[in-house]
Amino acid sequence: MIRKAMKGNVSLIAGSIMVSITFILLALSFIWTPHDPLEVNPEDSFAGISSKHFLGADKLGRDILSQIIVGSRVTLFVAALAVSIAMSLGVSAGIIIAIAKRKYQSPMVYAVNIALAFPAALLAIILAAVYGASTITAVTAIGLATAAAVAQVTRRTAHGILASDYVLAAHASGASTWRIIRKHVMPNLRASLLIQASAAVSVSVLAESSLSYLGLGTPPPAPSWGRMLAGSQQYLFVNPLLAIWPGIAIVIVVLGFNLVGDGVREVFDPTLRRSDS
Amino acid sequence: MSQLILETKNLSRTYKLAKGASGSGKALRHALIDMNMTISAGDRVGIVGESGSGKTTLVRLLLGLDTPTSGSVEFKGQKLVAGKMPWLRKEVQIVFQDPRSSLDPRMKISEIIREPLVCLGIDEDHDARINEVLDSVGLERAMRDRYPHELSGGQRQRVAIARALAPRPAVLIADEPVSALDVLVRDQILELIATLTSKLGITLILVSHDLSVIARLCDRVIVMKDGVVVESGNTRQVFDAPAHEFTRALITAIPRLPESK
Amino acid sequence: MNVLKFGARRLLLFISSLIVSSALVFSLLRLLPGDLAQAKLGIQASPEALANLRHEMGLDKSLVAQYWTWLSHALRGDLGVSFLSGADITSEIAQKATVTVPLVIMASILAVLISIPLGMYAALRYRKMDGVATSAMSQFGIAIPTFWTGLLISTLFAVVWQVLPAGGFPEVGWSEPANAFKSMALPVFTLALGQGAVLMRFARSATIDTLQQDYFRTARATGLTRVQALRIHGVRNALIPVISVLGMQMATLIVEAIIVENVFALPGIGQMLLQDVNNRDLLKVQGIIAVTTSIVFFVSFLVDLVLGFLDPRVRQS
Repeated sequence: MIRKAMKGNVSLIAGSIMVSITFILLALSFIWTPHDPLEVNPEDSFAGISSKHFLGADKLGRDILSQIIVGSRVTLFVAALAVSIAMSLGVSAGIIIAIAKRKYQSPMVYAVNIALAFPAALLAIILAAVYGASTITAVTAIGLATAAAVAQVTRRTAHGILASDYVLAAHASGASTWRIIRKHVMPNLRASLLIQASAAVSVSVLAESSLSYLGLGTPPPAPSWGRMLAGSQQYLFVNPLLAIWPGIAIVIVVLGFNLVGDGVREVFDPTLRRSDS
Repeated sequence: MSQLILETKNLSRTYKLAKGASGSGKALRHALIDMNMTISAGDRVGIVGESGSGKTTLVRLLLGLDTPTSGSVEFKGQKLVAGKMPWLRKEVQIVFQDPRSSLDPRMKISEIIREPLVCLGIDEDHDARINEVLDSVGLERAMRDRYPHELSGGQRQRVAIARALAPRPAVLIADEPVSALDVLVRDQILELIATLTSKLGITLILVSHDLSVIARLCDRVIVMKDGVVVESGNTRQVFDAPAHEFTRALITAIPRLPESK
Repeated sequence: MNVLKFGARRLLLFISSLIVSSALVFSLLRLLPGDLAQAKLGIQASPEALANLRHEMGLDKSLVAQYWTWLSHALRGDLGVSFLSGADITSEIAQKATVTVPLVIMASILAVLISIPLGMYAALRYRKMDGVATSAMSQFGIAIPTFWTGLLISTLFAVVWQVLPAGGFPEVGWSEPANAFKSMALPVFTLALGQGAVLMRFARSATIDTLQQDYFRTARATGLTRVQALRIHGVRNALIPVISVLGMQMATLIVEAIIVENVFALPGIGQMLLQDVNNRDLLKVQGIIAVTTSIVFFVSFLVDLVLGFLDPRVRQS
């Protein structure tokens, strides 16, 4: 089944490889890093690529590769929590709106549209102004903002499913609303949810790294890719390479999950499939 | 005289159109106007009309899936109230037009047929009943574990018929049951509906835009246009001596092969 | 529905969105812990001083009354004064807007100009290598965080080639137009690349749709080449989704502008907002967020109107 889905599906193959790299980094962070990521080493300040520091070292002589490996934790932890919030809130809200009576639907759609005017970073800024920036404010902001987007897509998809003949047939068979949601809406929503979840991971990772860059994410000392990049900016003239590595790590994660989403879409939507053999 | 089973009394249904679609805020569409009809047990009634004639509205009302604006539908003398009569589902079942959309693509055939049995709390061995109806619609039992997309159009419509028959209904409504099918399988499906309903003594309400389909299966026909019944009566009589010009137009619309000399 | 009625309904929606969202921001900033008076006077403040200040700021009144006071002042263009500097918030925002507004507008225009031709090209050649490569580029563009694009671009242009400044903005602003534009170039380009990559996907799929339409095939059958036929039917069909997506993306675009301002040390609204957040200058944060969300709703209102004119089907829904 998986092999069949993979066949000729460049997006899914490339995406899966990138996602695997991400998880290998994450696993590695708990087992082994070349150096202690926080170990300060003045004589290695701005060390270039060498056998001691594969990707070089920053101003304090901390090993870049080790920081990137450990930095995957914050990013993926925030993304995983935010996506869990976004999917559970967004999907239930979307389904509730879709099954609600018409007169209740428009105020709820209106509420979702208002929420969409507050992207993750703006919400994070508001929360940081009140509580001070922390992992919790970042997770909450990203989760809530993404939930609104998930709710919107889920509502549309669920609406289409509820308008289908097979749901009408289920009504005629005496199925309750709850049964229709469980047996008909959820299974037919699954593909869309898978695509949305992988898109939500990408969006969350982007948002987390931006917040960390702005200093609104997880505070130091835990290394994070966004903050590494913020730190590198001062030394662009000294060592521009420092601005490369964490960025590549972010792009691999984001691109990987986006491509997996596209690949899944291709598997489920036959009209997108290239001339089937 | 057989028992009266379904009756509509001055049945009307008006839809409010989406606000402003035609300028004023209160546009109404009268989908069904003052419809009166009686159907007795064992009848085979055809309802014919163009799209937009109110057929689909009538079907939804007969199934109790919609509330009439005024008037009522009565099943064996009991007034239908939308959403409040699980007992009705056991009695009135439906086969939809397009089996590609009326069968849930994520369910196995056995699950599709099982759904009414579970939901209606039918008190018998569900698996045995599924096999039984599969046999009666002429599908192999091995199809139980297939998904709808693995079946042909005709086979899918057989599944839809099996699902409708599973709870042993008294009335079967077939809403354009063959118009989405290939010409070659239409006859088989019509034949199947005819045989099964007469064998099981099920009252048949066949809805179609095609008078020839109704002529094959039904004893009685009701001709509808713009939400109003324009003519009704014995199929033979309506065919031979249509009283309304719309009926005549429908009859001449039936394609015929040129007769060979 | 006639155009006037459609416009009136959208206007109503716009105004109600403003009120609801500002009330939301207001309550988020007030209901949560962090008393404004405490924030201003510090933890060591005496209870009397606190009470006095609370009374002076109207904090002893009900939340609804406070919101009403704030809203009625805001509608007259008075967003109050900063706790820290005592400066008038409205005039500070207006001053910083001279950087942020041109940044967002220029980036939007550039993004549309990049995305439509590239999207159409990718669609025309979507089974060929170069078409696939163009789509892959947009995938990359979407996956790259804006601030990293900014860092890379400033590394190239300011560090390696040293042709444009890495950041900053002339003290005197736009009265030195040449320098101002030079400072804007890299930020605008950064912002436009990210947005353009998103818009390009929509331009591409709209064009692929057009290529499969009967009217397009008819145009081809009359002897037009694909490019000629696309010039007639394709641009308009690609423009509609691109504009509507740009409208929906406005909130994101403003957030990205905030980030880009921080990358390039542009003294705009975004940079000010982050400073105010760090200083917990809540009234100012509230004012800035109210203004930016108003702009978001206003733009989506305008986009709705434009699309309503361009596409009669939009008016129906």
